[in-house]
Amino acid sequence: MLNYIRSRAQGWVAWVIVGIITVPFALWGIHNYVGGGGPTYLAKVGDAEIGQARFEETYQQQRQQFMQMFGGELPEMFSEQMLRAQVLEQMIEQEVLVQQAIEQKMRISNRQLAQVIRGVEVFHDNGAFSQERYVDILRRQAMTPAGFEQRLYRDLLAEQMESAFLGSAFTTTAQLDQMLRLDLQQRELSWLQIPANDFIAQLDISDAEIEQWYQANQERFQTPEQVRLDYLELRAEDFFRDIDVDEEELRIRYESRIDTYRSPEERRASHILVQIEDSPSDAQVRSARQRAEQILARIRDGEDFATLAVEESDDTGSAAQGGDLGFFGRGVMVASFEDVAFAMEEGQVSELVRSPFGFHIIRLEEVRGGEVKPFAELRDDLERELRQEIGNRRFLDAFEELASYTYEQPDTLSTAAEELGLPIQTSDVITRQGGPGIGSHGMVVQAAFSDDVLQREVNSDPIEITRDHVVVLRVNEHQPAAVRPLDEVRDDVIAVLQRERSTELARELAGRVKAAVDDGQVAMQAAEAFGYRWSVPSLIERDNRELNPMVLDTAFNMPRPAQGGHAMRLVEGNNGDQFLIKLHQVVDGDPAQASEQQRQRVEEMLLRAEANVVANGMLASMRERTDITIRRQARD
Amino acid sequence: MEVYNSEQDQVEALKAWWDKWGKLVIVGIIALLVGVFGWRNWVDRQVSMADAASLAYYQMVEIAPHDSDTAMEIGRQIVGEFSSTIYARMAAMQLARLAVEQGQLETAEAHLRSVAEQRGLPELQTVARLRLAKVLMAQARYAEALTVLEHDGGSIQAAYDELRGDLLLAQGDSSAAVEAYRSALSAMLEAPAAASLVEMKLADLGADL
Repeated sequence: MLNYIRSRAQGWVAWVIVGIITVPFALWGIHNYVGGGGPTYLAKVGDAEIGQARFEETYQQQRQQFMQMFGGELPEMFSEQMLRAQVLEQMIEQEVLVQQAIEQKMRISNRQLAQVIRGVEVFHDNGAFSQERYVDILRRQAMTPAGFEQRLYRDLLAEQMESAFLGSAFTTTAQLDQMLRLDLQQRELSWLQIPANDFIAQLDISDAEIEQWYQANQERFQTPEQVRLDYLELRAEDFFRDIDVDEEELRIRYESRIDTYRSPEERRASHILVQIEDSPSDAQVRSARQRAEQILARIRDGEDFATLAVEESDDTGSAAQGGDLGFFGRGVMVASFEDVAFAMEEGQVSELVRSPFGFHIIRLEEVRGGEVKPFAELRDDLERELRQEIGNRRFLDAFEELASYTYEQPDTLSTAAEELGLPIQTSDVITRQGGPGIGSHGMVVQAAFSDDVLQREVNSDPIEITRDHVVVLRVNEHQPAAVRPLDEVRDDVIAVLQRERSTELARELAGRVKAAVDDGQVAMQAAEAFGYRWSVPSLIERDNRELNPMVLDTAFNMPRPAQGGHAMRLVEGNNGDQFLIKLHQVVDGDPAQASEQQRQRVEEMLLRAEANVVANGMLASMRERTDITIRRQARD
Repeated sequence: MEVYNSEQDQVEALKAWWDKWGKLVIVGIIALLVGVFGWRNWVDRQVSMADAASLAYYQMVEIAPHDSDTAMEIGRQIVGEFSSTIYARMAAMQLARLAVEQGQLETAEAHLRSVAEQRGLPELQTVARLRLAKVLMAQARYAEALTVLEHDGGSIQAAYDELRGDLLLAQGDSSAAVEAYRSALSAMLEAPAAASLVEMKLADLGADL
């Protein structure tokens, strides 16, 4: 019966709540229209949309994992933009896989879902799956079991699809042997190194040559356009120092909000109800009142309230509990009941209370809540809040002043500097590619090279590098792009010419040695004739780490020599050194001799290579069959 | 519409109509009901078949690393009992791998052939052909393998070309192999792990990249 009162009253409260909730929704709808609407999804795969919210959630998760991998920070080579684009790409790929799976009538039954979930160790408690733990962990991730299971369903579908392609890959012995023969191959080689530096001493480079080369290669000596900037800088953190907080102001703030610091009061009451039918006659009311008064009298005479409730109350639900209704706050019971219950003292028994349900006799059992948090407990929070407000206001005031002084006097920063007590700072040299200090911010560079700042030589607008960091700048010094004078770069020119000439000489010599060997002379003797040493032939493995990498690389890229013959190749190093490499023979690896470890490594290499092509290809081909629209870049 | 003289006539006409068509009407209604139930039954059966096949496939994949014999047993069941579902083909792909690992090349060949021949998911067919050619190569059946690879390799043509190179080389035609490897390499820009192996093969033949 009282449950009925409750549900009715709650119904009323519920409607208010619904009303409150509806308002923002209604406004939100309007905002959407006013804002021009447009598609809210980032990408559309077939009929499925990848919305902003789902993307953000996934992105944050991935970003977190990614950062954990790199010790809590996003490595510099990965920009947020790249990461976003990549995450969106992954989501599209997964969606494609899921859709293909569904099209192929693949399914994950509830039984299978349950089996997978039960196997997840995080959900185990004492070695067995615990439903409570499961729900609890999901709730902490802001997920419902239904939402999680839906996601898992899709993951499993995509996984199954993938496993058919990638998990089914194998290598055959034939493949493995072929690769082992290659990977464990050794090549017997010998070589001659002719360093270019050996020829520098005999060079004679004239001034005319230097001049001529300088004229012909001016683009090498260009210096980029540069500016040096003067700037004023505001940092929010500077405005949070030296704030005096008035104790009185904290009190006022506390008093004005005291209601929000009060925990809601709840009361526990028992009652005995003498029920009246809907639209009762006077006689019925009278007899009900009489009966209720008799009960009240018996209570006043000392009979036990709870016993009487069991015997007499028409609210059968509470009667069994001796009339106890448990705790309730305001707005739960009908008004007349509540008014009385919230005006009573603990242990007191009320007079008769009339409600739409009949006559109640109420006894107040217990009061809890209703305390106000004391000022002392809240003081620090209030102070922090106040400091924040004052600091922000000061920062914004300074920002506005800075903006207006630098705008009104566009030819100087000094007025603003004096008024605001800021030093005029000067930057390092900055090019269009940026520079150190404030030059590292793209927005600063853009402003520095803008027409206003560079050509008209006025102050820039305030640049918000971040919300808490603002600069206004003007050009202190500007250097257009120029060619450095010969005097400055003479040594560089000489070095280049020396490298060119000495390399030529070394190459010429190497060519002569090669010709001699090609003519049938023994390599060692041919080298010796010019004062050089040809190395002793040796067997080299593919993964040799001691040999000059260029020699190694060349040797393993040369065609196999004919039986008993040799192959030879001349290559040039970056520094102009010449290498004559002679390949004597190729010894293929012997699969039978390969260690277990080597076999495993090569097998993994082969599997990885196939997975690489198959994974890319399968996704590319499935994507081609799906309509995919990427509406907006993930970055905005 | 005829005009009836009396109710009697009307009843008579109805009776006559019923005598003539009644059986057909009843048969029609029954056929319709059977059809509807049959259809629903069939759909339900498909769904429960897919459910069962999916669960079995999941179990097969889970157990394969620990117990390949049991995995193969489950795989054969999927192929046998759920042949109309895609899981049969997926299981056949896994069976082929397990068979190769146990040295049963003919068994692997049979599984891969069955997947290669069934339409439905073209990518799976394409990959099955690649693996089929590998298994044939392992049995030194080079010409047959090359015939399989004459099919369009679609988006994994690079892998087809690389394998063609291996086969041609095994047949002793190194200049054709170089051509095949080159064409594989040119399509492996986004598959560096694969490209480095092809580069090694090309280098070994003394060919420029």
